[in-house]
Amino acid sequence: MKRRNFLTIAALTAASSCSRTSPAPGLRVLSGKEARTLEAWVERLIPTDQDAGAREAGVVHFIDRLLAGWLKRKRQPWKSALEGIDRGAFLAYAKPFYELEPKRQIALLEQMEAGKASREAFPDDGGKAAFELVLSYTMMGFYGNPRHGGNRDYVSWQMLGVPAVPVRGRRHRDEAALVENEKPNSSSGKETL
Amino acid sequence: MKILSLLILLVLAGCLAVPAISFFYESGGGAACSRCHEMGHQYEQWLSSSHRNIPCTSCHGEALSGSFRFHLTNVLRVRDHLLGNVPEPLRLRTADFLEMQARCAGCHRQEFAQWSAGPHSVSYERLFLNAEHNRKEPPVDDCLRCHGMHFEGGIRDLLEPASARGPWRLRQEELAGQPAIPCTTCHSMHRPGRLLARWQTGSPPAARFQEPVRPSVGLFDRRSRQAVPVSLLPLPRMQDRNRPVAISPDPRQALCYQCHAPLSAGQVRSGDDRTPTGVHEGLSCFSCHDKHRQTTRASCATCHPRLSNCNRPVETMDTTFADPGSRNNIHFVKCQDCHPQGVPTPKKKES
Amino acid sequence: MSLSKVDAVIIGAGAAGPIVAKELAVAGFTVVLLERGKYYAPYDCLKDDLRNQRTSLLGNAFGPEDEGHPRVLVDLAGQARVLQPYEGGYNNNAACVGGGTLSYGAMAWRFHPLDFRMKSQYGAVAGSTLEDWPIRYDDLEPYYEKAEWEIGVSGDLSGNPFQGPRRKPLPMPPLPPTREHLLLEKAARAKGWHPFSIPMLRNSVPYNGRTACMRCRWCVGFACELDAKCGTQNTVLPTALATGHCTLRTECTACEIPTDRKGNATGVRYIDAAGKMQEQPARVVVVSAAAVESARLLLLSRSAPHEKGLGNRYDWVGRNLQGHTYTGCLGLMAEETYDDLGPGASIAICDFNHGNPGLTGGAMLANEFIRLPIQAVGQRPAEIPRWGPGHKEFMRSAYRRLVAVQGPTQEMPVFDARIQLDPEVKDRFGIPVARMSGFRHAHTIEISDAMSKRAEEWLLAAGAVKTWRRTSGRGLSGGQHQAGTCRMGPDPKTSVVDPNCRIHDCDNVYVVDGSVHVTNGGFNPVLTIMALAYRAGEHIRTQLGRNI
Repeated sequence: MKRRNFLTIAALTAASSCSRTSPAPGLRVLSGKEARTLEAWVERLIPTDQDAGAREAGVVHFIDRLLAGWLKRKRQPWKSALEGIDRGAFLAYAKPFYELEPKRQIALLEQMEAGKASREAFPDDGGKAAFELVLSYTMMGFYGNPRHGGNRDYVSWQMLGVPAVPVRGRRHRDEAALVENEKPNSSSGKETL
Repeated sequence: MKILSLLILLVLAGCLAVPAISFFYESGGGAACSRCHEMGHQYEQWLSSSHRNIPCTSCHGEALSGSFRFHLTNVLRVRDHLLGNVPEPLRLRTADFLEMQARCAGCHRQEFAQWSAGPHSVSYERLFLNAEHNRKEPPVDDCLRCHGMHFEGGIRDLLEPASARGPWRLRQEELAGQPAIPCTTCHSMHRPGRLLARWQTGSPPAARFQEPVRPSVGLFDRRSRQAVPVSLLPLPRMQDRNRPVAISPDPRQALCYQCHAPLSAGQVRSGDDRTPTGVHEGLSCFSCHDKHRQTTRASCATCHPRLSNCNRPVETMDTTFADPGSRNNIHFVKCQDCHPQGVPTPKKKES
Repeated sequence: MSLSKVDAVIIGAGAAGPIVAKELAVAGFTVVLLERGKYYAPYDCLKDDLRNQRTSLLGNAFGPEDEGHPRVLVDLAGQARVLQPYEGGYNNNAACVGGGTLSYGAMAWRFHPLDFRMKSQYGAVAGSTLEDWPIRYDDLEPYYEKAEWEIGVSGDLSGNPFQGPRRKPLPMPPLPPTREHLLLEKAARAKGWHPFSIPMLRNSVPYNGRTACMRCRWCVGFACELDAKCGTQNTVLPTALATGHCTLRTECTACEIPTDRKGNATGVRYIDAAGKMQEQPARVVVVSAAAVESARLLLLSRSAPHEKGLGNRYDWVGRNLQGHTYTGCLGLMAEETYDDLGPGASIAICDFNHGNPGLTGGAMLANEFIRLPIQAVGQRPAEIPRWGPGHKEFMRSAYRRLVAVQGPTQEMPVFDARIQLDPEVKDRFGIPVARMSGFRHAHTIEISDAMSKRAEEWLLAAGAVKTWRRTSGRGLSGGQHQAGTCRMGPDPKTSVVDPNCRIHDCDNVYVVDGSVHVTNGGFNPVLTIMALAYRAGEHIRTQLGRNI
């Protein structure tokens, strides 16, 4: 087992010194362009208004972390989705997706949601699967716990009025009696803790 | 055989490489550390933190350290890095936090001394091997929310047996003397934010003694292994039966309330709540308690006898302040407790 | 090397297994309890809202592990899909010590007396194998009581006229009501219904040496960090282990029940934590692996006396898979109802479990457990967009005003809703996995739609400014409430086990879990499973004493 690990490390060291598309600074998997496309995409799904949106919540960061972990072996649909939407944008407006005006971005996403985006960009299903994939993970990255890299500083929970951690004490074993008898002045004999 | 010797050679080279690489990174300052891209976020935070002028090595150790554990940890991290098993978020391990403690003390001597003299410096041993307590309240994972929150594991990994039936022992005996509520429980060194942002309050006289909230103050949340800044922690709505209790708006208290917490119904005195009611209602925890030592010994004089209903010396009154065995808890004491027949009308001050 | 023979080997440490283990161990019989999952603790989940047993978007916290445990689901169009445990349609139940009881919402319902007599009460339903139980409510009553007091139930059933007779009240009072509870209570009373506090396997006050619930918002799907939720892992199992007669072996996956020439079991063959095949000889074998896996294990246990699998002479093993069709209704209140108090579910009515004109049964209706933000994402009326400014505005304005009422609709058993062995797909040990196929009965959908309408009435009476009903598809049912695959009955030709949970054509193999349910009631099934386990445990104890 250890030996296999060791060999893997050796192989990976060799592989990582050769070039592959290197991730953007601060990211582990997504390239700079992919990250820009994805950021524009998730921003349309949960836009910024008076409250932070998916962009500020770090949804791209969240997805990137998952691509390095939970989704490590399921990266292909993400690559296709990001390439597809850019291709769709190019075919329609001769610009990458992240450079489109919001209105056009929305129009393209609506087509994908309905499975009616260009088959040249999404040969299988007109973009439906790609749309659903990004939508579900955007929701997770925005509304989920920050421990996975999204929902930075609990922005979505702040928006919903859900405290990051509630104030919750524990009932002590001898407390039932205390509460019932309503003895506000019975002292625990402890001053501080 | 050949393969074996080759492997040994490679392992040796690897071992030597570790201090060399560590040295390389250290000489480059924080920027070199963050070249390892997983660390970018932490590096950026550090850049805008109050510790930005303190080099990484001051807190995280340096390559020339003779500590075997330090180098072993580094080797394991390189392995994780290469295998892509990088945890998210990046985090310190139990021992890293505890080692940090001494380094905090290196600069913040006074605070450290105060903390050491106060109840929050309690050790794992005293907390978790307290037989009387364990028998009365069987140890559960939730204990670790407020004590030993840096311990990576559940109560079963910490304590044997994790039940009301002793005798108990710590599974990792080296934790025995370690602090269960170290500096990093309430302070996150990397937290960015304006330094010493001034907090405005309109409620004299306590306000004069209240400090601004440091952005680095927050509770270390063991579940996500990140600090939740105090700005995101709630101040509870408190009730004394049906009467809403006024509590000080001092936002720093939100940190205290996480552990000195009432039950869900928010009743004063329930659970571990110590919200002042009675004569002290509305005071912040910090109006009386020193923030590191938690002592209250000198605090009365900040308000008394200037503020008084009866002009008697408050420190000798029959309360838990004077005598921990008193039936009048200083947090909850009311005039009526000593004047059950009715409170005499305050005498006009003779000037 | 074979292991030394024990009195009983029990497969599965879920809701039922540890109860049987305890009943036998305290009587001095030697027991080996096998569990394929791990002995998890709250630390293994840490209230992760994306990885738990309720929201498994990033996997299940308490098993089965993400890889190596696939199942195959055949959909209504006949398409077979391989599913992983975290995917919808897998019909997962936790795989760990305590099983579902480690992380459940913990509603502790007794079935209604009529739930045991569905066919006598309502007559046959075309296309359904609806049948009476061979035992009645009264047979189970003492064991319900034992479960309530030994495992621990809080609640107040005094306001519920629609329940069977009971000798003892619940051992603990209910938790104080939430805002939602008070609203719904008033509304139900105004409608002339009979609301009351849901019985829950949760300490509302210190009980059994464990503390009371602190009402955090991470409840169903999570293990309790206070140990205030009462499961088998923190009640009967420690008792069983403390006797010294019970051995728990985790990460041990049973793969076959070998039999002798007469067709009686000789023990269990299992793969241990190290991946080694072991054989545990035993006088009695108890299968408590939940409806999908219990059926799978019986089907895997083929031998000359049991050619088609243990207990499967008449092809009834794996049949009648059912769960509960949860429909219900969501309502948007005029004012905020969210008060951040777990477990959330708190008030119920049983007015519509029976006696609905034209319907064969019904459902208990209750308010839903507290929702974490991620769980509220899909809960929107049809006209609200799924994304964009409309979505965000809805979440912002509605989250704290959303109330859901729903219930477990009693399902009409379908013979072709079934578990088989998949001919191709294997698990990590190379053993054929469960292949699930079939559908929900059309009448089940009719009942659940009617229940949704009742839920809507309730919400409107409580002042909802907008309501939207949920509906169910016809796809296969099962889920955590999975049941029915080893039906209990007097006739070997139309059932798998006898009224004592013993397999008909075998002297010493018992099935003790939801599999034996003839019908699954209009209630969460766990207390019934526990009661059955106490009852079966008592019977097995007698049998072992008689030296079978």
